[in-house]
Amino acid sequence: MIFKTFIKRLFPRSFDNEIYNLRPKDLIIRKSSNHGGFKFGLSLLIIIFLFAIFGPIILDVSPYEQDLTKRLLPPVWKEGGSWEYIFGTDGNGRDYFARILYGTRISLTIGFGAACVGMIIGVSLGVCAGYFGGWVDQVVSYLLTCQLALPGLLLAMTIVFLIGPSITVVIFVIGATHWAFFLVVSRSATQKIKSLDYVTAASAIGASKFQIIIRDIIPNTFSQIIVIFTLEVGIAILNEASLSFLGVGIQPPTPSWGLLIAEGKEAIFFQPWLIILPGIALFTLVVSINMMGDGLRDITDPNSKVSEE
Amino acid sequence: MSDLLNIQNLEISFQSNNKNLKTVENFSIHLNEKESLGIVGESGSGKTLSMLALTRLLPKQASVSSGSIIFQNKNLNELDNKNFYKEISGKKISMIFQEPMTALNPVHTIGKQLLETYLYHNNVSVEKGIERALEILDAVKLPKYKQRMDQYPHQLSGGQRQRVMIALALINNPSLLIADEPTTALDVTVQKEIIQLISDLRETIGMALIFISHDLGVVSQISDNVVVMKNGEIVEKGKTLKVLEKPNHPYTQGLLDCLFKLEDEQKKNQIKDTPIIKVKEISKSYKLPAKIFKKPEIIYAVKKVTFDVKCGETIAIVGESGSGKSTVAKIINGLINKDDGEVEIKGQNIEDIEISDRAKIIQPVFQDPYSTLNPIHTIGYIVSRPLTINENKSESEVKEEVIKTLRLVGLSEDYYNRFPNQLSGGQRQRVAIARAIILKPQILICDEPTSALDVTIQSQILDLLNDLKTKLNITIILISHDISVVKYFSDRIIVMYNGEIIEMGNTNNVINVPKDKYTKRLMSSVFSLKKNDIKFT
Repeated sequence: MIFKTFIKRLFPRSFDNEIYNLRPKDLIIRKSSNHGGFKFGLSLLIIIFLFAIFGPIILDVSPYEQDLTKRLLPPVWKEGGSWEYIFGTDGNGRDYFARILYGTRISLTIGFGAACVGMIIGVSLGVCAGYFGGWVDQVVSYLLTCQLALPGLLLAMTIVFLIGPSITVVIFVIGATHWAFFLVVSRSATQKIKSLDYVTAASAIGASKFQIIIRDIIPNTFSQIIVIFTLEVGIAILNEASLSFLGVGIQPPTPSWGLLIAEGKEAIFFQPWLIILPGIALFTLVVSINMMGDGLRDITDPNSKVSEE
Repeated sequence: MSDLLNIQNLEISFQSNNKNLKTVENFSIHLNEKESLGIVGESGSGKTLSMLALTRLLPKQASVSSGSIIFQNKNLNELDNKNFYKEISGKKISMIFQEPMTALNPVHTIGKQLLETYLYHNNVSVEKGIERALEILDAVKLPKYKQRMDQYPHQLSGGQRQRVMIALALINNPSLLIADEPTTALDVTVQKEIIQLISDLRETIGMALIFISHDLGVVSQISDNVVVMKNGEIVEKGKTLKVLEKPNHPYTQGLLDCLFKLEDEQKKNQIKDTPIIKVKEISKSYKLPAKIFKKPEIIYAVKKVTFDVKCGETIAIVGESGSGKSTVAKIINGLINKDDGEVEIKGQNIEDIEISDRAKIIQPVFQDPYSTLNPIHTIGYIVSRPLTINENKSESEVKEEVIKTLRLVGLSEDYYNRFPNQLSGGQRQRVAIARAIILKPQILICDEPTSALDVTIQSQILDLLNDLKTKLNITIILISHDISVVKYFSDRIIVMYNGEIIEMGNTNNVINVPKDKYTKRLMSSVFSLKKNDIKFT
């Protein structure tokens, strides 16, 4: 309710009674303010983003400062915890709350960055394969088979090992091994759209192939791609966690959630929060992204039946 | 004659967003045994929905909110679902649907599907079932019916599948058959055979028939009584001939006017003798995927087609689906490449014309109003796009031009910011026409421009095209399977069959004195309702 009134005040025109005369943007705003899942996911994601950006600036905490006399302190709700270290400390006596906070930045950067890289590779290959067909399609399909046959994590590990780990390398490596979904979905969507009359009409009015791809085909695959995108953001974040866990992702002492879990695994029986807390953070982020993605698909699809009142 | 079916005050409502939308109201019909009833109305008028309520096949959101259904002196509302499906549905009341391509289950043989229906309702041995299945397949005149039992649906043509559907519906000797637009998805020549078959079987089996259609012409042939529906209500009912002779409701009058108008003479363009399009021996073939040890098979979509189109003329290409008429149109438009032959437009070879120049000469209008507009873009963008691509004009000039063109096709400027999904089928088709004429082309290729529309909308769109034709002096190539539309609209007819032209000539000549065997069949398959037919009763 609060969200809706807020949005109504921001964009009064979107809530005119005459729905037929709404501009395209207004219709999307109106639809999004009625979609529960989208609102929940987006709000959660915005909160996480705000935490990641402003948290370290406002709260004066450092994820690197060690104090070996204060090793493995429990979080505040456990016996012996204190407000000084809300989430306790890790094995080196570093503030665990600060480490998770800084880890959010890493996870968000890698998740969205890698998904973008994967989307650019997958969608451009998929749309070309679907639109041009013939030998282009065969070459792309062959590439896809190769990609699917290679064990992704192993490949990523090898590449990171050879080039040397850094955030940029991890982003590109995860992106370069996660475009198969994008390709498959955009290729089949393109094949379907290519045969529709409006594409034929576009070529009849003299639009070039490039214009048709940009104006007619890609916007119409958007609602399917957005779902894959949010899925891949989640997968990339988890992938980074696995790489870091295995020691070829983010290098210590930089805090990443995967690394935190890796470091905490020795203490799993006695200090389980070292694993549970970054785990909860991972889960929340991935769920919020997926809910938002699902909502975005419903909203951007002009044929969807989201109520418009 | 005794009562068979009596529906009183049926009311169907849809549940959406806590609101009750009444879709069918006050629906009352009465049917004696062995009688036939036609239900006419455009899409969304509730004609199918009310029959689905009778067979309990309503979609989940819809429910019967009130009304009584009495069938063979039994109140169907008192029957529970289990007994209804066992005793009534499929046994006493059967239904055939519009789309034969999807109505049969593709993974089971024809025989298995027939047997399943028969054995579920009758406690007999499999041998008896097979016997009965063969008997009914023979009755629906399925060619080579003995071999069909082991065949799968994809091995049959559309018309044959519809025969199997009818066999499925009739295998239990129902007292009432409901046919929901059984011929709409079929070719014209097949249509007539199927309607003839249904009408023959009705007499031999002695069942009652409810025939749902949007086509008054077809209904007038097959039914004794007719019900006209509009917006979920019955606006007129009575003996078919009486209703046609003296319609009481303005809507029925409108429907009839739409039909009769096609008989009237229309404004003709000034035809000059200079040909604007010359098509010389064009061919187009497709290779089927090669099988091992076999030469790849080649299928000709178009085989050595030659004709001229004169400036200002309207020429119609008719033929059933798969005859290559759309392929010819696309080749002329330069949208697909031909294998052989030449297409000259205004003396220039089509391949030599720059794409932007071609766009200003020749434009297409397509059949399906739902896929002809990109759902992502606004109407304003869609109509302005030909201008922004091909001409250098300022934004305000373009907008002005777009609004002018929208007015020309009968849409106000309010539509500028709307999306295609907010428009009806007829409005979408108007937008498609606006997009085609904004560059002021000399040639318009209309590929079945009205066949996906309701009758009343159809005549509006035809009027619009007719109007534009004279106003802008456009040469039109019309592709259609609907002879009455062709007769109304065109100066000359080309008849195509299997990729070849088999007859060509003046519209009246071809329709009244067809020479070729196929053309004769095509022309005789039209159920057109003539003014004279009614006057004489």
